Amino acid sequence: MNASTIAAGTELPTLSTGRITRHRVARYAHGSGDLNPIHVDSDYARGQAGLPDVIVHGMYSMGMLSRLLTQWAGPGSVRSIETRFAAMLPVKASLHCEGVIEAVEATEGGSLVTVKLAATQADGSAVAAGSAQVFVAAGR
Amino acid sequence: MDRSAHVGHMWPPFEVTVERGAAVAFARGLDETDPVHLDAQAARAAGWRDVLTLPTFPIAISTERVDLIYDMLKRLAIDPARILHANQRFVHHQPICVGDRLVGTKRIGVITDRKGGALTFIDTVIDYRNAQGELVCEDHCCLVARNT
Repeated sequence: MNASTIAAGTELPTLSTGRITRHRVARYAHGSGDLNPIHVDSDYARGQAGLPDVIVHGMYSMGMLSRLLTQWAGPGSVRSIETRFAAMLPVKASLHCEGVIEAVEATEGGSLVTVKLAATQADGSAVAAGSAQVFVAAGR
Repeated sequence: MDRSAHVGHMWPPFEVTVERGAAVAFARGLDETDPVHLDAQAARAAGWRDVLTLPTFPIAISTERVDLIYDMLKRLAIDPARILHANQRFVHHQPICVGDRLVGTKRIGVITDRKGGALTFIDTVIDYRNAQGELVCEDHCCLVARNT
């Protein structure tokens, strides 16, 4: 990336998960320690929770939005990230993550870039939305 | 129900050591491929003191202390089954790497009733500090309780 690509309105390279299988949900449950049965037990999801099936963790969507940022600005670049959880994401759906630069502020050694974030299903329906501040070192 | 008396409640600080297995399993759970998040040697070669955790890794720390969430819901007389995660924010002041020893302090921030009391939003904050007492990360979590 160069300075000209860091400007308000610029879209970050997108990140799409592809189909989020039960196995991927289980791996995130393991990694995050969140073993809430609504994410890992279909019988519970259908019975007690009244859902068609298990749902993907909201924090999985936030995690993917954070990866959208680090694949662009590099590891350790995220200064803050905020996400509102808009809707449940069913297992076997896919997630599409997008970011648009809202503001750029010069800071010591680089730029502090404010990015607007959105995570949607394949049909465009909102799953999560938010914003982040990312440090981009000069010359990266 | 007036829950304002609980605003500002603070739990005793808890210590946490960032474990390698936990940090790597979290990264793998998000299909992370950058070796600085997976391998100590690669992380050191890139200038980090050890494997660098992902930006949302502190959620794994707070999940480990789910007892604090249950204690809070008990204090607020809220059924855990009525709770949804509404909003999450992390503010990173310093990187968190494997081997780091942090002290977390959790408190109840704001409690807001909306929709005529049908919904209660509960903001909690966990501050993580290092051995020098410097602020490393803030975890701002907003849960919403459906009261009807």
